[in-house]
Amino acid sequence: MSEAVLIIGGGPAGLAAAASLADLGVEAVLVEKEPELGGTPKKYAYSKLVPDLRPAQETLAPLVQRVQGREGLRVLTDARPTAVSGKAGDFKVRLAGPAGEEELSAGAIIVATGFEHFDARRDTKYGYGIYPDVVDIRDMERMLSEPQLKRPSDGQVPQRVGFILCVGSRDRMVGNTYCSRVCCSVCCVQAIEVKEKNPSAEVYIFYMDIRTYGLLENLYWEAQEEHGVLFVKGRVGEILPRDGQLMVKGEDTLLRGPFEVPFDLMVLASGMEPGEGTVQVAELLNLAREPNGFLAPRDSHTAPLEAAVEGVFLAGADLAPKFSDDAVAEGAGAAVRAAAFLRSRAGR
Amino acid sequence: MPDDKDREKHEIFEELRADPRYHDFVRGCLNCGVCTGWCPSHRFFDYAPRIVIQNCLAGEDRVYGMMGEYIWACAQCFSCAMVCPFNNNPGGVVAILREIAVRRGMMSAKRVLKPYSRVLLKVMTFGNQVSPDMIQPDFFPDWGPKIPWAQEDLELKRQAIPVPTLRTVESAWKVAESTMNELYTINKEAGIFDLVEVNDPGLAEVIEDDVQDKVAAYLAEEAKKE
Repeated sequence: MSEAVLIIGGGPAGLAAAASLADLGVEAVLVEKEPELGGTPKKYAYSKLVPDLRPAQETLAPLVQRVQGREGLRVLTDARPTAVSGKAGDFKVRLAGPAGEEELSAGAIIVATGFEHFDARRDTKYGYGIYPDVVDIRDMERMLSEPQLKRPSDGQVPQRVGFILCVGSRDRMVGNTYCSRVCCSVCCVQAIEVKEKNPSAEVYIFYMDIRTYGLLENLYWEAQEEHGVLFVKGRVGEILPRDGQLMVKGEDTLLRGPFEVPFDLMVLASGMEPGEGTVQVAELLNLAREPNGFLAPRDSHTAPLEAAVEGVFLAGADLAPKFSDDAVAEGAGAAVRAAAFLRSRAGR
Repeated sequence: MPDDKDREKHEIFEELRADPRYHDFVRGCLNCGVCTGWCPSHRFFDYAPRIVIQNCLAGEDRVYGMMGEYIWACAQCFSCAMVCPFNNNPGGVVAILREIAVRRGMMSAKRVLKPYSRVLLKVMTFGNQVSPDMIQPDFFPDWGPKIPWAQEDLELKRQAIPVPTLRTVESAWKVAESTMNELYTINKEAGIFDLVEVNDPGLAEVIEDDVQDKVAAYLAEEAKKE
C-alpha cells in the first residue's frame, strides 16, 4: 500500500496537480522529462497566452513556484518512468533520472504528459523546413518573445506577414481530422503581437473558419477592429519562393477569387498532437486512446479525468487539444480525484 | 423541348450519383479553396475544382451547367484530390462527367473530340497515337522551323533508324496484323466503336472500313498458312 501520488509531466496540468496535492497534504512525486518545469509553453518559449495576452513567463512562474519547497512533494526533472507494475493502491514505478534508476511506490498516478505541435513538414504544400521564412506557430512564439520580430532568412523586419490556419488539423490528407482548438485564437494573438511590434506591417489570416470559441471571440474582433488584421476565407494551396519573397497561391473563396501574392513571412498554425511522452506512458500504463491518439477517459461525462485503469487519473492536453488555463483546471481536478481515491481505499 | 432538357438534366445527375466512384469522390466541402489554389487549369480558364464539388452538392441544375465547356477545362492532373482536406476528388468527378458526355454524344464532347479525330483514327487502326507522316507544319506549328526538313525524304530517314519495326511512316512502328486484330476485338467488345459512332459517325465509318480490310487480309493470310 502506498499513500503517494505519482504525477507524470511537469507542464501546466502536472504543476497544478502537484501544487493541489501539496495543498491537500497528500504525498506526491512530480516527474518531468525536460530539464526545466513548465511543459511545452516553457520548452518553446511561448510569448503571450490566451485569453488575456499575458506573457507566458508571468503565468508559468507562479505555477512553478507553488511546487517548490513543498512538504511531501518531490520534484524530479530530466526523469521519466521506464516501467510500471502492480495495481491501484500499490503501483511499482521504475524511474530513470540523472542520478540513475530508482524504484518508487505510488497509490495513484496522474498522467499529464501533454501534447506536441504537428510537424508541418508532413504537409508538403507549404515547404516548411525548406524555405526559412515559412515558420510554424511554435517558432513564431519564440520569435515574438524577442524585442523585434525578424524573419529567419535575412533578419529583416517582415512587412507582409500571413497566417495559415488548420495546418495539420481538420485534414484527412495529413491524417488528423480533429480541430486543434487553440490555433485560431493563438494566431489572432500572434497577429496582434506582429502589429504591436510593427504597426506598418500588413497581416493576413487565411482561414477555413474562425474558431475563437466561447469567450475568445473578442480576440478575433480585436485583431480586426483595433489592429487592422485582415481575414481571407481560403486555405492556401501552395507556397513557392520567388525573388527573395514567398509567393503564396490560393483562392479567396468569398470575394476576390484566385490570388498569387508575395509575403515576407508565412506562419503555419500547426495543430496539436499527443506528445511523445503521452504515447510512451499510454503503453506503460496500458491506457486506452481515442481514435486520434489522445488518452481516453473512462467516461467523458461522469469521469472525465479518470482512466479506465483503476487508480490512474488524466489531466491536460494529453486528453485533447486545449489551452493552458484549462489544463491547470484539470490538473487541480485530477489531484482532487486522486486524493479522494486514496482516502476511500485507506478507509476500507 | 423543355421537357427533354429537364429529363436529360435529371438523367445526367442520376447517372453521376449512380457511378460507384461518386461517393468516394464527393464527401463534404467547407469551401476552403485549397484545391483551387493548386489547380493549374484555374490559372487559365474559368474553372475551379471547388465549384465542381459545390455544384455536385447543389443538385442537378448546377451539374448540368458544367456539361458544356466547363468539364473540358480540367487538365486531369488530380492535384485537387491530392490536397483536399476532405479527401474529395473533383478531377474524378470531372472524369465521370466526361464519360457521361461522351456516352450521350453531347455537343461539348463532339466539339472537344473533333480535333482529335486524326489521332483517334491512328489509335484505332494502328494502336499508335502519332505517326511520322502526321508531323507536318500545319498540325505541329509549335515544333518549330525544322518540321519541313523532317518531312523531306521521310522514308529514307526512317530506314536509317536501326530498329527494324520503325521502318514505317504511317505508324510509329510496324504493328503486326495479329495485334491489329486483337485491338479491333477489344475496341469492339469494350464498346469503344459505339462511342466513336455516337460522337463522330463519319470517323467511325472510316475506321470500320480500314480495320475490316486489314482484318480480312489478316484472316486470309492465316487461312493460307493452314
